[in-house]
Amino acid sequence: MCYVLGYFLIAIFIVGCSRAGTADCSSFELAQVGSSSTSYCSEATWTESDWDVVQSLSLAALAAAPPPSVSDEKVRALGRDLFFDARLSKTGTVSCATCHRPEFYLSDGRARSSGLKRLQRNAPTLLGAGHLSFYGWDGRKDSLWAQALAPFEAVGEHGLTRIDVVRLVLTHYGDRFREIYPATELTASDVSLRIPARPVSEDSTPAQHEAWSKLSAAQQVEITRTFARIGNALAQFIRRLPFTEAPFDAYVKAVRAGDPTGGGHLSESAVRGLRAFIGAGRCVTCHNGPLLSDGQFHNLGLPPVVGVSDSDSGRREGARLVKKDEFRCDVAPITYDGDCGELRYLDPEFPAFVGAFKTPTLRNVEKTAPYMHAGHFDTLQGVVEFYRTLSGTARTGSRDPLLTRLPRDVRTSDMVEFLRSLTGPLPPVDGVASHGL
Amino acid sequence: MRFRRRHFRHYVTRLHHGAGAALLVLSLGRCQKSVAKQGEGPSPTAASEPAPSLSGRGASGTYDFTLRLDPAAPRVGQLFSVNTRVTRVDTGERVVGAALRLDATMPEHGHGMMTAPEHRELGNGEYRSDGFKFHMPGRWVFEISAVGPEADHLELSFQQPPVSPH
Repeated sequence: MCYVLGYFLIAIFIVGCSRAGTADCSSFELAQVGSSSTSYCSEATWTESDWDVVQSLSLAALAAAPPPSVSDEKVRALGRDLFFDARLSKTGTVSCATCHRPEFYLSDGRARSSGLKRLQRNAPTLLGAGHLSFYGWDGRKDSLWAQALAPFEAVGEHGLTRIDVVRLVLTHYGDRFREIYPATELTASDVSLRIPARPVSEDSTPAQHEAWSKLSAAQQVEITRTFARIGNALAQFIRRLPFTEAPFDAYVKAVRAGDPTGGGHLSESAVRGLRAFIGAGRCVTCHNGPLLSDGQFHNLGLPPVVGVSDSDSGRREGARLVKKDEFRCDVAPITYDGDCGELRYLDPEFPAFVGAFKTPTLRNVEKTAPYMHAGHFDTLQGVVEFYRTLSGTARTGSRDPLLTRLPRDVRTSDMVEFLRSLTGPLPPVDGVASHGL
Repeated sequence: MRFRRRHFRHYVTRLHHGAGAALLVLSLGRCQKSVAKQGEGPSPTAASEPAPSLSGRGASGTYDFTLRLDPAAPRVGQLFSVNTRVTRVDTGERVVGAALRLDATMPEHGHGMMTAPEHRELGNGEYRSDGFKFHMPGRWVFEISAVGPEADHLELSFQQPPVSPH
């Protein structure tokens, strides 16, 4: 009957056009509207508002970095060499690359890192670090250079004092360092660099603090300024490590260029995962922008991990620390770009900071297992299943009310396929060849 | 009562045509534009249009308050400032030297901001508040109070749109 066929076609038209993010695309393979031989669902039939969100996640939305100057290049090269130099540790065996390994996209493949000692937190990737406002899982540093310096003076990481770091750098890189920073007055043999010393920090021993107090104010300033310049060189190296184009970005580019299939860069499963990511899964609430992170702090109410304290207050402690940090924005010995608004107006007593940790970037997430601040989950499947159940309650603070359980009809395999599509080729991290990693 | 078969079929056919047409119209209405276009760049977003200024009369009818956000349409998570103008209702005069407090909360979520803004008087009835940040989309409520020669207060609702392409 004609009208039965008519209803059938109209029904297909309605369902096809109003596509919910979780439709099972394979059932539409027979319902070809148009002459395309590819399955209907791999075509980019995005609503305008959904497509806006998809584009906002792609690398195209990331502001391009200005090209480096010649002197920028020298700073970067010095930072690169320092990054891989294990002499900058108490035992001569720990470099920045120990926990930020190129083959793991600058994380280390461990649940929790180990420098000189086993530590309590997971090493995050350093790719994209230049775009953050706060550093560390609890955001206790507000600049990349201050964060880069912190492990040197941590007993469980490099186990040095700034005196040691400055002396070692001036010993092994003195000429290059002075070429870049001609105002450097210190030399490796300077009397002020003889005895390990540092201002009081949570790790310092009383002898090191006493030795620091015996230095003159001018000596202290000169040592700290040189130390800060070392941090700056490392930060320049890290900041210039680029994100590379992932299959997701290639998909967005292809659709923008007029290819509705997205050039085949995303499988149907990954496209379903993407639809759920920005739709029913609500992942984009926190994992937004080209880094797929809002840079904010959230309490997920994660399950406890054996051997890790579950009273870690996360951002509450981190915010309090950054407000008093000796290298914070408004008192730093070297100039910050931009104003200090993020630090100045931060209110550490905001209740939801308790037990909250920074939203990590999802770029290259496939390569940076295990996941969460103490490596709670070994696999992406594990992470997605956590969001599906949101079982238990937060041990410290309370779970962010933004979180909702992943709906049943969103497939874990589709979510994982999408997350895997965010992996770009490893960028050229110089020093892999020359330092034999 | 006997129902004549011929008429029955006639009416059923008309009914089906009408229903079919209605379904077609409804489906066209639901079908949103597909975006696989040539050279499509990021769409212009609501954030690029200036937001209307927020204003209202205080609860006791003493002062009028007008708020201007800077930037005019802040993104989620972006620091912004607020310029508040306070004028007397009866004369329209600007109110100088008032102790102004401005805060913002999300009443439905039971929380405020994670920042602690700073306030200063600019003069001529204008007050500047720096360090606002709406870290979530949704309904935020500005709470303004001014204590000058007289006191008044007001709540103004503001809808923070979700993340849009930068």
